[in-house]
Amino acid sequence: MKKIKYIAVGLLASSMVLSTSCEKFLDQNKDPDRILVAPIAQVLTSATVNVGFTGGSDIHRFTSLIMQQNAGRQAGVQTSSFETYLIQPTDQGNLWSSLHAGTLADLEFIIQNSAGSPWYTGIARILKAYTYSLIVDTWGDVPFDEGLQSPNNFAPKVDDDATIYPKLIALLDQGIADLNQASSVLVPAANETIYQGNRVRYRKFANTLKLRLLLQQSESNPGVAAALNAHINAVGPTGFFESNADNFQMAFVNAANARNPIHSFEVARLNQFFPHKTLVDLMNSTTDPRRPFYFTDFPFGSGMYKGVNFGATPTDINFSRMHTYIRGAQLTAAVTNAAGGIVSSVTGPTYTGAAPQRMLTFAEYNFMRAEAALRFGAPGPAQTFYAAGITASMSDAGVTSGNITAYLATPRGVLAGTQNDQLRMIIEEKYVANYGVPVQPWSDWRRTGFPVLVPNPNGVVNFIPRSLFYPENEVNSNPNFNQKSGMNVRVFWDTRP
Amino acid sequence: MKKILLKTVAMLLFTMQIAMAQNVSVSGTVTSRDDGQPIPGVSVVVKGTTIGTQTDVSGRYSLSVPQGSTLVFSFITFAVREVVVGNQTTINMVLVPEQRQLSEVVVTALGIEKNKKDLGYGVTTISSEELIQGRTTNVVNALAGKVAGVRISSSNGMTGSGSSVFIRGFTTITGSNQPLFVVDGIPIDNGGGAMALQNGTSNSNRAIDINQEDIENVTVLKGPAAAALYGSRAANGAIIITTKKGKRGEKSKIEFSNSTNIIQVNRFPDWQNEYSQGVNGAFNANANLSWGPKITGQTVTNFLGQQESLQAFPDNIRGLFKNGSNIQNNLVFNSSSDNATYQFSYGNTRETGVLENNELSRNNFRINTSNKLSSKLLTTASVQYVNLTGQKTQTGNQLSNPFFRGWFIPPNIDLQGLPFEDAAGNQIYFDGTDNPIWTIKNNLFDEEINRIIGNVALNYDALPWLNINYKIGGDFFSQVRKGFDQIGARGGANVTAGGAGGIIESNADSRDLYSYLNVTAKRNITDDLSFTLTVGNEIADRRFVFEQIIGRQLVVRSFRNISNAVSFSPSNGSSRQTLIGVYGDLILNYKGYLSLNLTGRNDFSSTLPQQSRSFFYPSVATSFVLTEAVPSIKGKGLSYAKLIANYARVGKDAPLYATDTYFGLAGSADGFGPTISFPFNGLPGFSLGNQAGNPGIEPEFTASFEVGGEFSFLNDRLGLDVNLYKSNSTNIIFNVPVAPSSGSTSQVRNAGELETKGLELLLKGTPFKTKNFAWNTAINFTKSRTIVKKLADGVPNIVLAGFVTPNIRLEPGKPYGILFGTVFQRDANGNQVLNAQGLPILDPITRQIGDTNPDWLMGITNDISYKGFNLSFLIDIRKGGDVFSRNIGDLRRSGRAIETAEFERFDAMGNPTRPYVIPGVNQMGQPNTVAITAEEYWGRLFAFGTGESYVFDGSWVRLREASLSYTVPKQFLDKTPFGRLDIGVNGRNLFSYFPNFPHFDPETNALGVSNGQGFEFNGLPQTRNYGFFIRATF
Repeated sequence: MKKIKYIAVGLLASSMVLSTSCEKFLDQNKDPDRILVAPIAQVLTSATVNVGFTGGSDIHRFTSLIMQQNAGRQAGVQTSSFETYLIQPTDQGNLWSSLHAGTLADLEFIIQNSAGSPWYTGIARILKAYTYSLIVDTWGDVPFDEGLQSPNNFAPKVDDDATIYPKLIALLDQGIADLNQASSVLVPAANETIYQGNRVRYRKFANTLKLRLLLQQSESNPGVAAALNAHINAVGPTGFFESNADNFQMAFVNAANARNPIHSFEVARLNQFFPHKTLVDLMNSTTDPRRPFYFTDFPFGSGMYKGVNFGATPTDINFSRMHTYIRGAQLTAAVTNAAGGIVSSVTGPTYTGAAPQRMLTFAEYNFMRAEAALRFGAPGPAQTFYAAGITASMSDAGVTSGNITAYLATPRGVLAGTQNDQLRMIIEEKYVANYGVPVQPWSDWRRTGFPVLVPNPNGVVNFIPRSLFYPENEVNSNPNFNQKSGMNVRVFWDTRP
Repeated sequence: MKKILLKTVAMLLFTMQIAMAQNVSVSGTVTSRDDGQPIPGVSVVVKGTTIGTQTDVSGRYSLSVPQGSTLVFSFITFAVREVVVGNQTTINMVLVPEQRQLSEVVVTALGIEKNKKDLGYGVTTISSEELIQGRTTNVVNALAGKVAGVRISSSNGMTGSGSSVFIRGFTTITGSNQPLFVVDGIPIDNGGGAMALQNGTSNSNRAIDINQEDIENVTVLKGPAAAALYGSRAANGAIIITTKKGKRGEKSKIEFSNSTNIIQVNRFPDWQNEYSQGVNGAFNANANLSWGPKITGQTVTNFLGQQESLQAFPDNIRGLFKNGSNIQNNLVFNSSSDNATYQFSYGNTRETGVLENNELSRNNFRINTSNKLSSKLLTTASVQYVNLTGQKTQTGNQLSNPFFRGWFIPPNIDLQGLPFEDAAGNQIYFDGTDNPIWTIKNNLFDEEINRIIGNVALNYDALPWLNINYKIGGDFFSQVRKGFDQIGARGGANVTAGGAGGIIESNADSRDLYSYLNVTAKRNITDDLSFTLTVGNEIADRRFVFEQIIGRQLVVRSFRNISNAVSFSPSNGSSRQTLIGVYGDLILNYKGYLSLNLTGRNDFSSTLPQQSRSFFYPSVATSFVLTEAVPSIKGKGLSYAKLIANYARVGKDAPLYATDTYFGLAGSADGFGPTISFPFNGLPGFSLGNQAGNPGIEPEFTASFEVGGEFSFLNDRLGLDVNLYKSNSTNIIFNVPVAPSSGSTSQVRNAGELETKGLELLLKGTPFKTKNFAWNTAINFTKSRTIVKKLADGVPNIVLAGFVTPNIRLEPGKPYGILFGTVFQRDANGNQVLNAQGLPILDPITRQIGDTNPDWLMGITNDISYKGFNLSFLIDIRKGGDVFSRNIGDLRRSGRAIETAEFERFDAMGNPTRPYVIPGVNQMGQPNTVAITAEEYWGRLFAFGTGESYVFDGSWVRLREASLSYTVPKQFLDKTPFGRLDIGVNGRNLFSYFPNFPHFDPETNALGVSNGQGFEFNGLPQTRNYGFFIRATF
């Protein structure tokens, strides 16, 4: 009996030892190679690089193809489909995920985890407002109030886009207030890759973006004039962009996997993305001196520029191609075929890929002011801002001051005609200046109807889209979404008849 | 005490018998009827007594027996024979192998051996002979068509490419559906066969490291009941590999075998060679389209700017391929004594592929020994070392894949005659992709595996009825991989260097350790009722470490060292998962014909949160041998009937590290090539992971119910096995997509449900049998259908693999793995809607375009022997199963497929003819009557974005394997050193018929070993091989 007792005690003791060592043996489920909490400084780097990358990625391809700044080439490849407005819900999943689960999730993490470092909070709020503005301008009604709350809410409700805009403006104001705080424990610097942490420039950007959001409502908001004037007067001349150095753009560098995304697409997807006839012809009609920087000439060496027309043979490569303004400094000479076309987008010329990704420029600021002055009685005169916009864009492209002066001396350089004629000139110049800028040329067209575009005759719909279908990955996993009836559903500010 | 008593009684009886009868001395040799070889170890017993002996290594015996007694000769797998001892002193006996072995022992889960008769679930064993018939390098391919319920699919014909195994459909959603592979009782890693869609090469599944010649047999445990004891990892069944071992008492021998095969592409497309490169009937030197003018010798300016006379080179694409070879040499040394066995083997396999720079070389060294230390204690060890090196070519949807656009190079391109690179090594090509010859030569992928798989075991018969077995073993391998992208490579290749060249060096180290302790008790409860109980535990500890460095922007052409790169992205990682399982297996047997098998297992897994870490699952299986229970029904018609039924449930743990949300290295990519890697410009970055952690995750379960029967008729000349099953997987753990607007794109959850129903038939028979001639045939039939019952709430579909469009996805209510893509616009009546030009219009909404699951599979094996000749062949039939074929679509849209030239494309005036009208209606609803050109018809119906037209039925009938061998009769070998000599010829994929799949072999998958099947994207072709073999023992 005693023996049994000993055995029992022994068994019990050994089973206890065994079970604790078992627990230890089984406690293995923390990944030793990843971190659960990251420093906000490195999260901000991820966010700012992604803001720039996204700006030159799908959203730029969709909108610049819709706007006939670029054309799709090669039968059946995606750019050619997008050009026919075949931009399917499935095509947009990567973009939608990058915007939300990539950039915005990182920004939200910074906002929630930057107590004591308001300069981080401020930058994150301003970038959040910018990113959401792209989302609203592209898709319309989207989640905002309940968005970015994973893991607490995996299916946010969809908000009326008209209610989101004021919240974005409030977010910008909050961001400016954060940046105005006297001190910040952590100070963003070079790790912030757009303005290197420069608070003054971020404030200017916030104010300029706010101007964009107000002007976006030019047709929908009866109080737009008052709002624009109030904003412009409150901010004052030094509160907005003052030079190209203030441009909201992300600098890419000439190193592997660090290059401008539009350039990288050219390298990865040979001969699929060319300047469109609409843009090139518009610039040809004004003998625009930006052309040698925007495009290669065709035939090569001729000084002439030829964009792709709708209906051109899909494999035909005998056109101008995008050039140094988008792709960075030229490295090697052109390799051409007998017709004078560049053989491919990688054989030569080759480029550094170190061009910036432009998202909101000083040029655009000036065109906004020109329009505000022209239409809404804002401080002007419109002509001054119009000329400043052209000058900013041209000097950014590398046009000599002599050539800029010459251009401004042509009829194109002086606003003339009816208000509508002048608006047309402003928006057309803005359209040219915003070559490479995502979404905004499309927003301007939806608002103003300029430049006047003829829909692609081979389009799957016979109109130019007013918004994109909702991405399939969102519609499929969020029961609050109903897919829209078509790409003619409009964003709230798009009320132009 | 009791035992001693029994022995004494036996001794007494023995002496009594000697006293009672006059003894004679008898001796003789026992041989096998099949090969005339002596059989050692045959039991020779005087009927009704314990007097007996065993034959020695030469098959000889001698025994003193009472006159007039009956000698019983018995040996496993042979029919028992009796003979009455008269006056003769020499009795030679020829034993005949048994058709069906009632006492056949099969290895089941965890190495537990059971009588096949008692099994209440389906298992199939494939012998060594059946396995090596086709001489493939990858053991998985050798299973194709041979087992009902098993679907094998090879990724492509590249040397060393992977193959998938699916047993009884699918049980999980995004986790692996591959079965567990076990070698001599130790699970091995069969991972690694998945393929990237946009870059890289065709990867091997790691079972390719196993040498088929080393395998004694392969047992396939189908379904949860058979595999329940293996637990979490065997929900999809298990492939149990038993390697060859020496046999106790067998004489020393050396065995040598060689097989030499030629490898060829088994099917080439049918190309048109009448029309040249170009578009709209006009020659274009840079177009990779064959819609140019008719080739009549006219002068054109080629892409090099040279004038040339237009002509066709019908073999320009075929010329990229060559004959490959597969040479296998094996040497086996056996040396055994009464107490020990020893086998050493060396195998060498060398394969060269159908493309240059495709090679595989494998060396397998193996030792199997067992040693009986005492009558109770047996030690065994089984260890093999594998060294495998291989070199491969790029594949996938990328410009460096030689067949990205290589299948439809226009006929006027003299690929072999034109230069492919200049003096400096820069490629020269008319098209924006990599020149196929240049990329095969320059963009390389090399790998080396060094692997040890082994175990040592102690087997102790503690009591006559109690056995203790302990086994510890592991699978250890290192994998060194090196990818090289030449400067100027245009595709993603190995590292996506954007033309600047790059290198990837990666080292992985995998260490899986397993320990098993099994205690087995066997007792009779009454005369009629016995039980066997095994209780045991498993401890598994699996670690994986990898490190890799990618260098981009190379300085010196062809210099394959990381120092040659300008920018670097290093990364590393590691993982560890542990599992403890305790289990029990009880067999109750009543009168030998009714058996009940109960199992239970409890797992404790590290991948689950603490509160749900422990989970239990049971199984019950029963078998009833009707012909033994009611012998009266047994007769000439019915000779054997067994019924089975089982129910089982198997639990499965979670993927690694799914309980938390982690930050990862930042990065950007849009799926089109543009990529940002961090550190960016010297700045580090971290980004919150897109996958949200789930601390509440629980195990998933698969429950199955199976009934079946085994019947044999006409004195075992005809047999039929039937198995019907239904399995339901619930609480399936998978990465559920969530609304990205939440800030995450997915969360690992318990959500889905799958249901599989299936039918397996095996009909086997011996249609002809005479003294010298025998024809055995077996037909196995597989029908299995997995339906997605439910995904997560609010999740209408899951994309398993593929592109934005097309892709392979799961949708509730639909079969597992449907193809989804762009469709043509149709009206309410299903008529295709054509535009005013008579051309198709695409529907902006993507829809289902195919179902990748075959309707059924059938394998017909035949084994015909005449004297020393043996002819075996396997016909493999697959009905249905859609394949998305980019290659076929490309051949058509490019105007290179022969059918694109079925009508003259130009009339006498040189104007395009309009021979086609697409059936359908125009946008006003009236019948379409607009005639279109061949270029419009093929070009638009098969335009790249049109998913619907790229889907083809992948049915096949193929002569999968065949072998004809001859065993040289013994009398010819008497004066030679040979103990046995077999020679023969063999082949694999020799003939095939694809009723609905033009141009290519549908057995291909761009995703490799993946849940997503039926997706061909610029794939390499399948191959056939044929050759000869020789096998000799000394």
